[in-house]
Parts: sequence; C-alpha cells; structure tokens
Amino acid sequence: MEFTPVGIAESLLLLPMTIVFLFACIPITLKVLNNNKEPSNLLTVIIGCLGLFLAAVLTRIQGAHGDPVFFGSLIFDKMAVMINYGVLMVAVFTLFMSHRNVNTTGQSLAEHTFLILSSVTGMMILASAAELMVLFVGLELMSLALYVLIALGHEQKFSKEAAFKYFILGSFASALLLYGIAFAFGSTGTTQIHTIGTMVPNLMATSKMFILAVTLIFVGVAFKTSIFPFHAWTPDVYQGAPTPVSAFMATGVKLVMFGVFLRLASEHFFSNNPMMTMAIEVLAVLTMTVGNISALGQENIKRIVAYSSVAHAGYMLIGVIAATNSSSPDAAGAVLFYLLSYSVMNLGAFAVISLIEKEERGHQNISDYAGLGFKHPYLGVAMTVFMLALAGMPPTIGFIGKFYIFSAAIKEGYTGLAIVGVINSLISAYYYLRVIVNMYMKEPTHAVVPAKSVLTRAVIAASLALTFVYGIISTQLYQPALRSVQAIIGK
Amino acid sequence: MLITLITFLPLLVGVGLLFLKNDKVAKIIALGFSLAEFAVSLILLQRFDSSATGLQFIEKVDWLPSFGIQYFVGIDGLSLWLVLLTTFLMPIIFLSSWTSVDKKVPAFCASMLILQTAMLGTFVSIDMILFFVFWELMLVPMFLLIGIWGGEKRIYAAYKFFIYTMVGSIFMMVAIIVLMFMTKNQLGTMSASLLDFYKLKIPFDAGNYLNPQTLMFFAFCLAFAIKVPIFPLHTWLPDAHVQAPTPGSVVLAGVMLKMGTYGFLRFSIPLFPDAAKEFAPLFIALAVIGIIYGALVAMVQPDMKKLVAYSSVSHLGFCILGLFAMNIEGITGSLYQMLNHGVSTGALFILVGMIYERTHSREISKYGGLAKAMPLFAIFFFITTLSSIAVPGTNGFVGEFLVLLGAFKANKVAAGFACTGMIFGAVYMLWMYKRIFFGPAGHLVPEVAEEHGHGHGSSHGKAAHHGHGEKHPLLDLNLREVVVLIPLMILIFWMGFFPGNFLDKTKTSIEHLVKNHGQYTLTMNK
Repeated sequence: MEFTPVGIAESLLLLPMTIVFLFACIPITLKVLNNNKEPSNLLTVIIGCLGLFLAAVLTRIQGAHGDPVFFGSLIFDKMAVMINYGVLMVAVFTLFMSHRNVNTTGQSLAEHTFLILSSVTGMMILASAAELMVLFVGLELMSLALYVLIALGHEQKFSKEAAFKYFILGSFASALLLYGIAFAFGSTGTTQIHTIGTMVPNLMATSKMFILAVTLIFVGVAFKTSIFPFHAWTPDVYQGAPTPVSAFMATGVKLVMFGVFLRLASEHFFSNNPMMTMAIEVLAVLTMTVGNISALGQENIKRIVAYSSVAHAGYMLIGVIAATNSSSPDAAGAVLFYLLSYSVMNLGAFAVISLIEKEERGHQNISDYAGLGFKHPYLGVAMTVFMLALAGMPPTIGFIGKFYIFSAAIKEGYTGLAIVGVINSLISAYYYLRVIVNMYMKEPTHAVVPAKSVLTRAVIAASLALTFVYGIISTQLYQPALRSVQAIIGK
Repeated sequence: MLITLITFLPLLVGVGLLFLKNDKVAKIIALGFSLAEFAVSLILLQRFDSSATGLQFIEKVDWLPSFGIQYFVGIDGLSLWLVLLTTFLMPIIFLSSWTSVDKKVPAFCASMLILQTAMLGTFVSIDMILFFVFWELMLVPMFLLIGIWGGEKRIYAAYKFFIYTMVGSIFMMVAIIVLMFMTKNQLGTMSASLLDFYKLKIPFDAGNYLNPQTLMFFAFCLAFAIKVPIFPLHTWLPDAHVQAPTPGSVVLAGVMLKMGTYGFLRFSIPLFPDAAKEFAPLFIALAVIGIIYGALVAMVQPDMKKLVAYSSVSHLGFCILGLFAMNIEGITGSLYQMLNHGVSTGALFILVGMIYERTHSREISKYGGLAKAMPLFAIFFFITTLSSIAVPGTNGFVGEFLVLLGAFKANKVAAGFACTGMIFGAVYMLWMYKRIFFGPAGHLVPEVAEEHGHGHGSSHGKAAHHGHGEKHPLLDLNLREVVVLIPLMILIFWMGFFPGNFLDKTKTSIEHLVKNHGQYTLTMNK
C-alpha cells in the first residue's frame, strides 16, 4: 500500500484537537504557576469554552476531507465533522454546568476542565478514527479522563465508588475491544477499518476468528454505549458522578461511540451474517425494554435519566441495524440526528438536575421536585419540556428524532422493531410523567432552592430553544446529518 | 391564513398567560380572547361555501420536504361544525369556571387555550403527521388539567388518561409511516397528505386477517376507539371525567371524544374501505353493546358526574353506529349526534359542576326536592335532560333519529337493539332528575322557605345531624351562570327545530365522501 508523505496540510487537520488539548492545559498551568491556587472559576470556564469554540471554528474552516490521512489512520469526513460539532457543543454545555455545580465548583475546577477537554480530544480522535488502533487510543484517552472526572466530584462516597466501578468494568471492556482488534488483525492482516470492510463478506463466511473479532469489538463499543447486557454500570455511575460529568457521559460518549458504530456499520462489519444481525436486533429490543422497565421504579432522578439513556441507546441501535443492511443514508442520518437531539434534551434535563441538587447527593429524588413547577415556573416548564421530549411527544425534537429512526426502520423492513420501539416509548412515558406529576401535582414537603447559576440557566434556555426549534424545523438539522453520512454509506 | 390564525392564536395567548401573575386579569383575558376567537371562527362559517365538494381555506407549506410532510390544513363540511363547536364551547367553559377554579388560574387558562389549539389543529389538519402532532399535543394540557385541578384521585386518573390515549396513538404512528412509504411506492413521491393516502390501493385479503389493510385499519381504529371510547376500551373515561374539574370534563366530553368519531369518519373508514366493510359488523355490535351497556351502567351510578360520563359512552355508541351504517343518513346523523353530544353533555357537566360548587357533593342520594330550592336551575337541567334523551324538538332527537334511520337500512337487528338504548336513556336521565329535584328534601337541600310549610321531619333530622357548618345556602343560579347556560339552551332548540341550518353545510361533503369512497355503499344491506 502506498501512502503520501505527511505534509503540512495534513498536519493542519489535527489543529482542532490540538487546540482543545492546548487550552485544556492553560487553566491547570495557571494553577501551578500560581502556587497551586485555583484561578477564578469563571476564568477557567471561559478559557475552556474559548478552546472548544476555537476548535469548532477551525473545524468549520477546514471543512470535510473525504480521504483518510496519516497513513490511513484518521479520516476527517463530514460525519467526523458533524460529530465533532456535537461533542464540542456538549463540552461547552458541560463546562457551563460545572461552573456552579455543587460537586465540581470551587477548588478543583481547573483539573475538571483539563480532564473534560482531554476527554474531548479523545472523542475527536474517536470520531475520526479510520483505523482500529487509533480507535482504541481515542477510546482510552476519553475513558481515562472520565474515570478521574467521576472520582473528582466533591461528593465523598458514591462518586469514588462509581469511578471504581466504571474503571474496573471499563478496563475489562477495553481489554475485550483490544482482544477483538487483535483477532481482527490476525484474520485480516490489517487494522484499517476500510480495508477490513472490503474483506468482510468473504471472512464472515469463512473465518470464525473474524466473527469472534467483530463480536468482541461490538462488545467493547456496546459497553460504552450502555447496551444490554453491558449496561449495568450506567445507573450507578451516572448517579455517583457529578451531574455535569453524568451529562457529559450520557451525551458526549454516546455521540462518539454511536459514531463508531455507524462507521463500522457502514463498512459492513455487522452485515453478511444473519446470526449477528439477529443478535443485535435482540439486543436492541432488550436494551430498550430493560432500560425502560428498570426506570419505572426508580426514585432518584439521575437513575431515572440513566435508565432512560439505556433505553435511548436501544432506539438508536434500531437505527444502526437499519443502517447496517442499507444502501441509503436514511437510517444512518436518522441515528446521527437522534444522537444530536438526544444530547440536547438530555443536557437540558441534567442542567435542571444540576441546579436542584445539593451537597452529598441531596435533592436528587423526584420527591424533591414536588411543587417545583409552581414555585419555579421557568425551571418547571423547562423540565416538563425535556421530559416530554425524551418521551417523544411532539412538537419537540424528541418526537421528530423517533420519527426519523422508526421510519428508517420501517423503510428497511424492520417494522417489528419499530413497533417494539413505539411500545417502549409508551412505557417510558410513565416515568417521564412521574417527574411532571411531582412537579405540578404534589405538595412540596421541604424547601428546595435551586442554585443561582447563570451559566446553567443558559444551558437550560439553549437546550429548550433547540428542543423546540429543531423539533419544528428539523429539516435544517436532518439534511446536514443526512449529507454527512452520505459519503460513508452506500459507497 | 384564517385557519392558521384560529388554530395558533390560542397557543400564543396561552403561552403569554403563563407569564401572568394576576388571576383576575388572566380570566378576563382568556374569556375575552376566546370570545374573539369564536367571533373569528364565525367568519369561517360565513365564508364557507356549502356547495363546494373539496376542502376549503386550504393552506399548504412544505414542512419536512424529504418525507413529503407539509403544513397542510383545510376544512370541509365534516370538520366545519366541529371547529365551531370547539370555539363556541371555549368561552362558555371559561365563564362557567369563573369561580370554581380558584388556584393557579393563569396556568389553568393557559392549559385550556393550548388544549384549544391542539383540538382545532386535529380537526383542520389534512397532513397526517401534522394531525398526529396535534393529536399527541392534546394529551399534555389535558393531563395537567386533570392532574392539577382535579379531584381526589386526580393523579391516577391523569396517568390513566395519558397512557390509555397513548396506547392507541403509537400504533397509528407506525401505520402512518407505513402509509407514507406506500405513497412513495405507488404514487412516486412520498407524501403524508390524507388526499394522497386516499389514492392508495392498500393490499387487502379477505381470507387472511394479517393483511396490511386490516392491520393498519385496526392500528387507526385502536387510537380512535379509545378516544371515542368504544366498549370495551371505555374504562378510562369515567375516571377521567369524575376526577377532572368541571371545565376539563366539559372539554373532554364536548370536544375531545369527538376526535375519535371524527377520526373514524375522516381516516379509518375512507382509508381502509375493504377492511372497514369487513369489520363493520364488529363495530356495529360494539356500538350497540356500548349504547346499552353505557345506559345500564349509568342507571345505577350514585354519582351524577359518573352517570353523565357513562351516558357519554351510550351516546357515542350512536355516533359509531351511524358511521358504520355507511350510508348518508347514518353519517349525517352521526355527525349531528357529535355536535348534540357536545352541546347537551357539555351543558350537563356544567350543571353538575354548578351544584357541586355549592354543596361539594355529587351524590344523587343526598339531594331531593331541589326544584323548590333552585327553580331556575331545575328548569335548565330539565331542558338539558330532554335534549339528552332525544325528545322531539330538541337537538338529540334529530341526531338519534337519523342514526337509527341509517342503521335500519344497514342492519335491522342492530337498530332494534339500539332503540332500547334510547329507552334506557330516558329511564336513567329522568330517574336521576326525579331523585334530585323532586321528592323529600335531601341531606344537602335545606328546608325551603317557611311559607311552604315545615318540611319532612326525617330529612330535617339528618340535616341537623350534620350541623350548621355543612349547611349550604343553596342559592339559585346567579346571572353569570344563567349567561353561561342560555347559549347552550338556545342551541338545543335551534338544532332541534332547524336542523337544516346545520346540515346544509355538511350535506355536500358527506355526499362526496359516500360517492368517492367505495365502501360507503349500501352493500351492508343484506
């Protein structure tokens, strides 16, 4: 195989992720230079956001490049660009929330910002990975930062436990992924995703080792996207982690990992093997159902959102299945749209949770939300909208996202999966409604005072606006999503 | 623009009201606005061309072009009166709840107005996705209305209402998407417009129930049957009605149940003609069971509101019977019955609400002899009762007569059974009337003025037993309440004596529907 030598132009493509990492270092360097005294929280957040914003601008200027660079290890195509935008938005919102969240504000925000931005760097590598080893490096960079981020929360007991749990299980999943990559290399002689993709039809029929490799890779990715039966860590970790970090994990990690799914699916990793497709179908059904049913009985709002995020992974997996065996970009575009819409609604919901919660896991139960709707009308209305959006009610982005996913599934002949999906959104309606019922129909038992954070309120307002705007004029987001996967699907 | 204006203005005003703090101002704005809205909708009536067969006041804008989804609204004879019924009931509801709703008033008015947008939207949408959006949107304000301003078990009722309705609609959603892909295959371009759906040839196989047409027919029917509600899917209705506040019940009975019947008329039957024909006997049977069952259960209810709720099940059975009779008389009667039910059951709920506001009890057995204490109330209640039992000269008679006429043409046995429902209807309504208004003064009814002589010892004793704290003065209707009821009473007689004024507008549309959709033929008549 021949590669063009690395030139300046190619190196410039790395600029966005480099910028993110450089800006990650600024607050923490300031802290070191200043005798380990924390710079102003606001300054830290501003620097972090500036880095993310610059990265977004650079990504915009550079645009998309269809061919892999760096000896075929990274690809900056339209999908990578789209996912990068999503991740950068998620990171900005996360930093906004971190500014005054009880578990992140104060003494270690510089470290927190550093880790968030490092994790974003890992995510950007993941979004562009065209090679399995690079994929692994990105995944580890993202995950290692997350392990520390979870443990860094001020809350003493559960955040440490969650970090430990996520670390042990996450390392195990990473090991399986690496194992899968090794098998893939063993059976194909390459780690290039595209090259492997061209061999898939042949290998699926002849090589058991390759099937094992794909299965292990699937498991590794499924763990990060909390797909049943690899979802068990999700509620504990989301509950234990500081709320902004939970939000970051629920949205950012899902965004990139489903991007990886789409990339692998577009290279036919999961096709040509009916058994595998069926297994994924079963997993999709189980993921939705288990996630939703488990959420029904939860009292802690973060656990509810965590289980709901498991369920949403199931909906998206339907889209991935539809994309796997399709030559049209509709299904993959629907997944991408759903990812972005899910991120928006979820960030909004987490932002409200972040405002309400108190030290040491205080005010995280839905009973703490009793009477909130009338006492804090704006928060109440916002939370209601996010819950309804997550439940898939029109005219929000959540409805239209489900519409795209299910119509893609029906188009590709998975009407059964679509029906299971809508039944699941019915089940989910109950626990989303529970939050609304608590806010509007129960009398408060104790005073709940939301934190005074302008930035978090800005996140809520922005999410609220996006939830409605893209719910009504969804074409403006769907068409770019569709275009961004056009290049990789059906080539 | 007119339809868009009528549909979305309530939403805008409703959202604006959320920012208000003052109860009184919110009420005045809501009432004033809903009156203005009604006035604007009268322009619709005036400009409506009764001789045109197609849709009128059409507005069409691309919404999601890649799926052929449009913002496509318009009305014809089938939806015109339902739109007007909605705008007509709204000011009445606001005025009737002037004193009964006393907490979170701005939020109440806002929910009501947002609900109005959703209801109007479902009636005017021609694009199916747009229709679905409004259909689902409707759930949220109603959920809040029941859950916040409702009775003791309001949260349970609110959940039940929401989940039940959603059970129906999710399958409809899947069916709509399937139909959209069918338009792509059969007509070349994808579309969600009802007019394009009408052109589809949906595969049907009489021998096998799992054919696409039958499945989609039932997906649609489930949504509408729950909404109507058709026996045996009616169990959410009594809970929702009893727990909902009076204005909630009025809007639920007055307008929202009509969406189910309207759905059958506009979507289920014309879209899936073969399946509809195949399963018409099933729906006729369920309708008749509903008529009789609703009436029998209503008869034994100790709670006035529950009685009226079950009477709705019975009345709506007539609507379904008329629709599945599948002839002009039946459909006309059914449409007329929808309006009747909106007016007379709406009035009944308002009346029950008025007495409840005075005594905080709806138990029939606690009343008696009310006619002496509240004569004006008794008169209004009597007129409404007459309308509800379809006495000639009132609106109910015209509707039920036409439905039965259509039913006799289609299925004599079913029509015969349905007639008994009319008798039962008279029984439970008149019996309730007798127990409330005549006889010895009940628990809650004070002894009437001294000049009528001293009342009945036994009841006096019981009343005294309750102590003076529970004695309600039971004043007769005040001016506001009379103003609320007068328009409804006028309409009861107007619709009873001059049905032509109303049916003129619907005639062309119904004939057009029957002519253009093969299933609306008299093939049922064997």
